[in-house]
Amino acid sequence: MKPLLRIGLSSLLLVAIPVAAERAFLTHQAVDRVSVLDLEQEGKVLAKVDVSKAPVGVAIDSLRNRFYVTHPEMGKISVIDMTTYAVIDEIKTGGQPFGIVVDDSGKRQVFVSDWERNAILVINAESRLVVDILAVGENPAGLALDTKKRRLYVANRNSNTLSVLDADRPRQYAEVPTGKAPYAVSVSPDGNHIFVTSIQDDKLTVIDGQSYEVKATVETGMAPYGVDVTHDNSHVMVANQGSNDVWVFDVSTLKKLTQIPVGEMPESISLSSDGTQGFVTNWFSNDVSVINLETMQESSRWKVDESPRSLGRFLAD
Amino acid sequence: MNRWATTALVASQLLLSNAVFAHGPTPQKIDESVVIEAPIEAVWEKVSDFNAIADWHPSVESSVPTDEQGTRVLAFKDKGTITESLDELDADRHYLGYRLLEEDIEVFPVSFYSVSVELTESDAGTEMLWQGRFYRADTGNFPPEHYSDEAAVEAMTDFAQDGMNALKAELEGQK
Repeated sequence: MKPLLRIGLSSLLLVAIPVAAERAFLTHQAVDRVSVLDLEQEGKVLAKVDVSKAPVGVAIDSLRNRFYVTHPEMGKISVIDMTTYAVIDEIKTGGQPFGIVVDDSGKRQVFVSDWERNAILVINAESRLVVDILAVGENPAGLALDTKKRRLYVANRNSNTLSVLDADRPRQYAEVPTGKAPYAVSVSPDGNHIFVTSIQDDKLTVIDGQSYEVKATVETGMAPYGVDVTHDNSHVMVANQGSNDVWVFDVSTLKKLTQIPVGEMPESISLSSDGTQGFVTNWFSNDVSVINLETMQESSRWKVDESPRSLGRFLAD
Repeated sequence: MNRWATTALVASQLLLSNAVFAHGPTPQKIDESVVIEAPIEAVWEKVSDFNAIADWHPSVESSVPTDEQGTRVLAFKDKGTITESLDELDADRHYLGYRLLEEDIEVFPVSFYSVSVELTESDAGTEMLWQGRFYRADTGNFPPEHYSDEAAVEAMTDFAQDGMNALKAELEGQK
């Protein structure tokens, strides 16, 4: 076989087909409920699922057609079927499970931050048992997983650091200083940049994905919470809870390009993998802002149930 | 490098920490409003002076600025003090936002809050909006009743309502 042909074939095989996000999964902490929105039908509610007390974190497990929500108040995690929306199990973790992320590589693991026990819980996605507990900084909150580089990033809220862990072995590569009260973390799809919001000093810490050194610290709006990076690695977007807006930065220059007014006290932001839309949960005003990523403007705002939070990536493609 | 413990399922060691943290995993909200029959600028004059709250809020005995700019120490009658810091003061929007800087849950049973007060003109005069996001005093999973979510919501609601009602009585009485 000629080399040229091989390159052509393999590059074809490696191209991921971008798809529009289909559904959003919202945790409503105040009313013990999860709602599922159809993103192609203007946020039509497909299901309202009553769950255990005070759900916060959410993660989609597309391999197993389930999603998980964390209940820090109860020390457990609900496992919900993505087709029937039935709660099929509850995983008892103890502590205060908060942020959650699924290993999409196919390895049977789910990572959960335990706010109270200053730990990362590793859960076997098949047996649904806690198989490891790993010590990190104080009050770990947001998580991000780079499935290709096999790294787990953990924002340690009260230590003002980001832990960089190996996703396969109990090993820590670095503990990187961040701003004050780091909350959410996002890694660019190419793995080159890690972005951490810090609530109390209104900063975005930009960390190099190779050296784990702080490349820059950028001013954000007031009380930045959620952060996500566009599919083409070009823009990073931060939801500011104190100033009720989303700030958009150019990843290469780290300059602020624009700010987008959203609902009140925005919390989490997730961008669709086809690069067309972003979604923001507005905790105080009980709505979801839809952002057109071409124009970088809010295109609509959908009324939803009480106090949507959805810490984590809350879109299913 | 490999400095962290893999305490596989030996959870008992980790269960020891049951400290009260300043922030927990479950925020609560209040959304209170009062209509005051007074011009918006008259209400704003009272509200915008960050250190004048003791002049109109019945629960606050004194409000003293600290060396750090934009902070105030509130003394509650026969109880003690908490410290707040101003985040934003916007005269055009008649808006101010502040947060709890140093808590004392014996004085006020909330471990952290951020509050915004906003005025808008209405037919009757001024609508005053008082909104807050906050965490209960004991953010562990087994809080005693007086440090619970309910206690925090009650304290935050009462503080907002008592303040706005006192302001209403004072400003409407001057008509």
